[in-house]
Amino acid sequence: MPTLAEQSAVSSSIPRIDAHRYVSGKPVYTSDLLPAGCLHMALLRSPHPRARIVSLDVMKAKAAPDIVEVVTAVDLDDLKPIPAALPFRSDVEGRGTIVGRCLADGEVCYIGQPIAAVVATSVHSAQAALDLIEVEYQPLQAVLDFDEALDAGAVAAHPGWATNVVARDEIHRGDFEAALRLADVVVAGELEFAPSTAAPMEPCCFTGDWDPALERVSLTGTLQNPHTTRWMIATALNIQETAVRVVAPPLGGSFGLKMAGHPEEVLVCALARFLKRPVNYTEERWETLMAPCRRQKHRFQIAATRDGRILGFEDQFVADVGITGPGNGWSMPLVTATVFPTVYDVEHCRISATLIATNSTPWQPIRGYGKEIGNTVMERAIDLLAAHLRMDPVALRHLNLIAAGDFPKKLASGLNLDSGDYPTALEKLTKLFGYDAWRHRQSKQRQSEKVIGIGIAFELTPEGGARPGAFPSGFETATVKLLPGGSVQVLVGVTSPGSGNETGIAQLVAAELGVDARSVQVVQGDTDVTPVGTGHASSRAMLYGGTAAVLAARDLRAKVLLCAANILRAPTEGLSLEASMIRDSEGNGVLTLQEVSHQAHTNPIIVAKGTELPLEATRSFQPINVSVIPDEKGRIATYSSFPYSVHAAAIELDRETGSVKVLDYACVHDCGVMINPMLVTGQLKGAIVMGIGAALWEELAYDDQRRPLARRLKEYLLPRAIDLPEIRVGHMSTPSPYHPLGLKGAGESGVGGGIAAMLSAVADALGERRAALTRCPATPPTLLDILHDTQPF
Amino acid sequence: MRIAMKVNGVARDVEIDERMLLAEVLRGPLGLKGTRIGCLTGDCGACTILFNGELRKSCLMLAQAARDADVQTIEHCSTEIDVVREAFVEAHGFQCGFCTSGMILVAAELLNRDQEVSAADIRQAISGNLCRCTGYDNIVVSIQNALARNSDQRNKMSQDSPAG
Repeated sequence: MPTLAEQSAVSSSIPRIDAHRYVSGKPVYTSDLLPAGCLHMALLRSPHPRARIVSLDVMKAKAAPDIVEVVTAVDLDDLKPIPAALPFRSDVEGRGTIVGRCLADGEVCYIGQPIAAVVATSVHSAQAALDLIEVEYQPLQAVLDFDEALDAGAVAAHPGWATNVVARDEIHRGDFEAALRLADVVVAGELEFAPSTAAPMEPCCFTGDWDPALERVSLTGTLQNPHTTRWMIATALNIQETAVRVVAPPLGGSFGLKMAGHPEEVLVCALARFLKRPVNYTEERWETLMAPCRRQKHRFQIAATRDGRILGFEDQFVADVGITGPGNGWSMPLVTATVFPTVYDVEHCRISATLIATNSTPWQPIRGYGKEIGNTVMERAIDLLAAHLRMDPVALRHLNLIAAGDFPKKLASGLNLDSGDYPTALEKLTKLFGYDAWRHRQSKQRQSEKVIGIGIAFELTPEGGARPGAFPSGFETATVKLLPGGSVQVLVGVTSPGSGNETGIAQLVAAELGVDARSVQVVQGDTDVTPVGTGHASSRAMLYGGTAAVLAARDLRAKVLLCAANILRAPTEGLSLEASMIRDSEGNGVLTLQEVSHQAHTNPIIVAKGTELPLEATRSFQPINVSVIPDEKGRIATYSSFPYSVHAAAIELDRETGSVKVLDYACVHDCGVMINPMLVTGQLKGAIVMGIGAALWEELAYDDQRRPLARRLKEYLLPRAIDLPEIRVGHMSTPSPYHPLGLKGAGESGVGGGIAAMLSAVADALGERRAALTRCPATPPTLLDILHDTQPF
Repeated sequence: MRIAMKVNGVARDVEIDERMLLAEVLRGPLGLKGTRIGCLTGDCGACTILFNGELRKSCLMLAQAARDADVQTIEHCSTEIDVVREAFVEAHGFQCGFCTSGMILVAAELLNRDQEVSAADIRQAISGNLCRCTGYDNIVVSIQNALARNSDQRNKMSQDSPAG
């Protein structure tokens, strides 16, 4: 009996099944779907990090042209709080619960917090009327920085809390103090990450509507997690989930930003119900940029023998997660803590994470989900150790990688690494990149004003997040249908950010049913139609959703073959499905799939004897490589799958201007079995470039009152085509032994490697001043400060 | 106010609010939703169109400036655009699709120029258009393939056409 993975060998780089629609300008995004007569909402947002609202007068705004209604918190007092997507139980004393509200009530606690909603017949009139709202604020003392948030006299950033600690985590393995005693060398360092953001090309957009006949609200929106959003809306509006329909049309990119939990998702529904008319909210770019994350400050130590064997690693970090809202972006630093010591075999580890609330905009999730930060810190520590020992950074990594034969292997946090071959990946990378040739070129250019830096970095990317208590979490479901006319339809709870996972799912189902993938329809993102699921997050679409579809397709195949056998009055043994035909044991086509389906549904007594109609099957998939019962240290392990990648980059640092030019980039990547290598490579390259941007250019800058300075894409600098070389990619495949198809998940890998390889290369170019690079992104001002620093290094 | 312009080869006459941007009129009264709005500040290029044959960002123009102009959007049918579309399909030159309309029009304009173009030239040509998904490599390859196919077709046509 072949294994499931062998039976499903469908790896093929076919074009996207929906490609022609996409290249003709025809994908229909939320903003293309505004119903006739749709009203437009604009939001008055707080200009203060913290203030009491002394008075709020909307009368003038209400009287302005085209204005239908102006709403404040008072008008929404029948709404319940929006429940948190991740109802994290914390044992921190004085910490309150996370409460999501649509509009500020009496007090604002971050800049940008919505205070009033103007609804008008035109978007321009709605925005113009915002200026007519009269608000008197009494500014209150705010917590503006994580350095002051933990001071003894600090006020609490969250109204009603008695602490600024949102969560803590301590991870211990072995005895780090013993490692310090045994070590010949201990190298310490710091790394601070400035806030950055996902910045998809499509801003968030939500349309609420009200069906008076059915008395239901509907939300059509830019949503990664439609079922989670449905639950949040039903809870906040205090209605049954059956009275809410959530539709998630194709997304113009998301990268985590569009996960459930934006107050506007609920607000447009509340207003549509109130006004009995459709209401749309479309972000302006400055609002899309008000979604910070990644602000973390790390202090680490790495202890080793003089010949480079790493004995211990310690990292203590704080994360400024701003105000925590109903979305789960704030929880990303908890994941950061769990990835250490990544791909390295380090016996003694001590990790300490503190998540701190300040009066700044709530975090939104981002691709990488904290893992990119942990990986970058680990690689930074390895590089500093290599420099200290005067060892080649590739050689030092080779010496400390987990060996290919050592799997499964636990991380310090208890996450159970499934499989991999890190040493081979590193060897392949150095060949693909031309590591020796680059080092040679670097040595010839060392005295120049423009110096070359070479960076190396591993990324370990835990995937398939299945945290208990999150809604929903560790499962995905698919229904596969053979319709009476013979076409194949798949309904899945996973959604797509535009990555092409619908094509991968179609390929998997097509292989099971012996049909052309291009003929398979994959339906996603409609809570009235698709099974309950998480949507997309943590590379789960293929890993969990695709697997559920395979299981369902196999059940359906068995039904179809039974029906065919009934028609043929023959046993099912020997029958197979190929090229839309039922084939006998000699491979001769004896019936079309269409004939079987039509006959089964129209002549059921005979043809469907022994099976159930209609010809469809629903199956769910749950991962096995997780543990949700606390171990002896009280830890659970909620990622099932561990793709990894290793990256090399060459950059040129202009010592006069501090600018960095990326000269070359190569990556070797392993996500286990690939269904569509072309789509996987596309995802990986995009993720790497996102990492390059976050390492070199992207920063959400603020003034000293935490007012955002990056309001346009002129101030938040995304990578452009001329900023980049070709990204050269090689793949390996070590199938996961814990997954029935050998998948590990693709789509997120690359961001962490991109950041880490870039910082590694920049630090390398700084030479003897490399330790002074303690900040990400490595922008020209940061690098000029280091280059011009006259202090002895 | 009313304005007349030629859009994708067809004479159109629309009633507009004089404050409206060309991008808003294309997507709204004219119903051509393939033109995308990503920033309204001319930074992302998702609203790129061909305006009298030249590339423009339609969020940086008032609609009334398009009076009597010849405007082409992603919905336009031309040999060049078809060649580019096919190349984007085969080389997976898109992911979420939001930047794709603009990228394809930039590529079609490159094909129209009928010049020798390097990969670096292509990167320069699309540098006014942001893509957050692909890292650009597949877009560059798609355009290279389209250029090669286009020049093959032109050569073939000139060989096939009767002399004199």
